[in-house]
Amino acid sequence: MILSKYPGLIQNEILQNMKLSDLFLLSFVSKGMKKLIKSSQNRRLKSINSIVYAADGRNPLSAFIPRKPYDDILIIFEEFEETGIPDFQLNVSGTIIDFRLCTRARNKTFGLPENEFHPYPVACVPKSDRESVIGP
Amino acid sequence: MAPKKNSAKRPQPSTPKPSAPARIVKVQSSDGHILQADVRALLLSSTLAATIKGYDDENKPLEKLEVNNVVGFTLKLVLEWCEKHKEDDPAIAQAEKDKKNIFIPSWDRHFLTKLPMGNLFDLITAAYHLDITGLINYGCKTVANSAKGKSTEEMRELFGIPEPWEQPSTSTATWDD
Repeated sequence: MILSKYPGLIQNEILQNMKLSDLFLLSFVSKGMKKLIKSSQNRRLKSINSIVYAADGRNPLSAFIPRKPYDDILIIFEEFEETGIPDFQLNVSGTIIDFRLCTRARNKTFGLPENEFHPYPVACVPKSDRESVIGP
Repeated sequence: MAPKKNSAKRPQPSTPKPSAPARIVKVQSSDGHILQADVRALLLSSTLAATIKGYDDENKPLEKLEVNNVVGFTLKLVLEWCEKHKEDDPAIAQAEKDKKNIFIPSWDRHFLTKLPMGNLFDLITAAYHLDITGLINYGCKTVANSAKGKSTEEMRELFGIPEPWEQPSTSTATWDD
């Protein structure tokens, strides 16, 4: 299936139905895709008033969009493990970042409810690199 | 912090009307396949509904509808979906679309997820040409769901996006731009 061959309206409809955490990862796939997401989801992205970077020490470091009644999680960070095997890697602003997809077991670790399972991307980065990932 | 809960509930279909005798017409695909369908099922397509209305207004007998941009295999899938939903109120699909709150019923989930991606692509494109809102909604939602939890490489494969070095580029811009 080639997304670019769909009519524009269908492309928009598919992107509209995707969760923000999936759109976030999809935007890394190509420059064209990033541009398409930005243009077709303009209204949705503009409706985001703020992104919260939670680093209070009690919860895992994460970035989410505060919403009622449930927040929209964009990404969760976990402690950097030198030996951990990433599910995939991304070049983010010149830094190679390990990513793992959140499993059900990991969801439990983060205290996220089992029945609301969604495989959020989990970036596994040393503290020194976190700024480059979540910075503007 | 709590994750977003999908509390979507599908609006209940209106009470089915007393069933009238089925009015069957022939539908011909672009590759010449001739299928039969109930007119009530075809009315889910705004495009076909307009054509049928044209025939009815002029009191012309409707024997065969030609669908020139959909091949036989895909048209059969479209008609199967329409036959299943012929009792549905079209306003429900439009309301779901407007509210961006689409819940895929279990029959549709099974029907759409069993299709290979290529066939699903053809089905959604046919639904777009025939203007079948419900099928567009469920098809797009199914494609969006198939990206759930995928890594960027898997998404690249799923959506047929070429690697950066395979894309023709005249610029040396980077992600930092």
